[in-house]
Amino acid sequence: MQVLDMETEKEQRYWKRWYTFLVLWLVVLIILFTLFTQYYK
Amino acid sequence: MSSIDWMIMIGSLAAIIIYGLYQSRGTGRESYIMAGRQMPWYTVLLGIMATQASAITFLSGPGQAYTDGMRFVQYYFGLPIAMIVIAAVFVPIFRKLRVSTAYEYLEQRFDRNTRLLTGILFLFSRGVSTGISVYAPSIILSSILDINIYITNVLVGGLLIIYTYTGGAKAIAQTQKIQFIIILTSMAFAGVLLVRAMPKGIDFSDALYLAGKSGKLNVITTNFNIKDKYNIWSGVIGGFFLALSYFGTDQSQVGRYISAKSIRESRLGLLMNGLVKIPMQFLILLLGALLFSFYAIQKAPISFNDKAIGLTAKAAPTQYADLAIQYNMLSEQQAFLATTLVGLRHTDNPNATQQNLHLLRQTQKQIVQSRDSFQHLVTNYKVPAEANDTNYIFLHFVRNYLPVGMIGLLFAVVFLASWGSISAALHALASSTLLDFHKLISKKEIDEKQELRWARIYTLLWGIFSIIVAMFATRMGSLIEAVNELGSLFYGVILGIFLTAFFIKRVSGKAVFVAAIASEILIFIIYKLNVVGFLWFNVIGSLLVIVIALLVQQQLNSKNINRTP
Repeated sequence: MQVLDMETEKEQRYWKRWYTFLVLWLVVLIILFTLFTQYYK
Repeated sequence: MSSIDWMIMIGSLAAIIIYGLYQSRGTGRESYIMAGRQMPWYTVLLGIMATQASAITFLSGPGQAYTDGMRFVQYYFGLPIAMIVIAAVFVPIFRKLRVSTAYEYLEQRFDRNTRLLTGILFLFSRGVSTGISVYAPSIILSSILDINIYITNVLVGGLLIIYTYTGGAKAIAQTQKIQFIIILTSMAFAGVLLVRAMPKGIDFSDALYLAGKSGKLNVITTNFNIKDKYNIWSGVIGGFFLALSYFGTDQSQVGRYISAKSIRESRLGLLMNGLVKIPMQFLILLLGALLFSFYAIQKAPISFNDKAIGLTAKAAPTQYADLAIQYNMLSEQQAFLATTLVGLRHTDNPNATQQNLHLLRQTQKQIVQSRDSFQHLVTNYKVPAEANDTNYIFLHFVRNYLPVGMIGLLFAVVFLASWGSISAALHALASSTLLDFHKLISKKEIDEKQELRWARIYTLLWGIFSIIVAMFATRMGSLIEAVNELGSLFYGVILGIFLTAFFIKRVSGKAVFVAAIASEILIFIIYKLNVVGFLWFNVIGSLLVIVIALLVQQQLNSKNINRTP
């Protein structure tokens, strides 16, 4: 993206960390919910 | 409702209106349409959440878990990934071009026709779903004032119009923040009170155990079935496309984050939404699962819609009496078996537990059949009341089991929730009508003052339209499903247009225009054939637009080559 190119490297790293964190958060939630479902089945 | 409840309800609603009007004083065009592009990330976040979470979320959500279990939460699994894509791709483009509506970008990328077509698809789907959203708080007002639902539709819609008409985007953003904080606090309070209201000897963990054994804690369902509405696959894939389309292309949401003061604030608002949305929805649904345990022992009525019971008892007295006797017996049996099961939980007797559980599940099946028979009775005898009682379940608990003061506060919450989301939707409808249609079609140049006047007129007109739609919403069943199903019919195609715009540079306006119309027709055919669950419409719609646009573009290119001498 042209606009993203204008961001500094530091900014890009900051947002990439955010995106990774959010994906991991989703994975953790799905794992927790699976355990919850199995436990109360 | 007691006088204290009335005071709390009217007091909190009046305070919000006054606050909104105070915040929006001296409103100009930029402030009315774009909130002055000054919002910090937390206002954006609360605005995004308040716009999505209408009264339907808080009324219908617990009811959905009560009847179908908690698997509805999977519907939000695609949302965090969608937030990432929007933050990384959509936001920089919208912000860089300083567009006022998402569709304005389409004219810059394609042509005017594509902008108009996408605007029409948005206006139609959002207009109708806003009408359905007006209906949700009307149910409550009708229930507490005991007046006709058509009158309450006008009352609720009317209040909303005044609120949005006067304040505009700035008032919406500022009040949504306060509204949402009140809403979350009150819902948490309701949860605590629900646990405390559990019958003697049943604690929180027992209630969870009972709900789990009754199949209500089915948060994750992994079996793949294309016709199934909620499973992890449709949730992650279909939910991703739906969230991408809703947050990335629906003006009621785009309007929230493009009014932030910088790209950073827009992104943070969106990403924080991705972080908190699923846990919040989980807790709302958990409330419904706990309600199930509560009513399993406290004996639920055959329908949570009191009006339906009263009218059916009059319309079909013999059938109703037979059904009521049978249902009461089953209810007693369920209460006994559920209490026994909880008691057995603390003993070491697996055989007895298994046997009891088997009987409980059988009884619960029969209870569901009885409730279905009652709903058929309501429909067959054309009783003028809603047969499906999903939207009334939480309301029934609030009215009958919560202490004085809390009832008023929770009723206020439902209004605040609906105001937050509907005012944002009305505002988006008005802005889009003005900027994407009026200014494009009208030959006369209009100044900022006239723009503000027209924005207000369109707010008024869309408000009236919503009230009219609300009048027809009475027999739609679970409102949360109705709104999402309706959205899915259009969102996939709208998203397809935007994805083509962002990622496939070689496709022209002409090709995408043809593709969008063809795809929308195909989506309606698929809907009529009833072959897939509604979340998949979002995936299919987007892919159809992209594929058809590429094919049409190829045809156009080969024609051009043939014409070239």
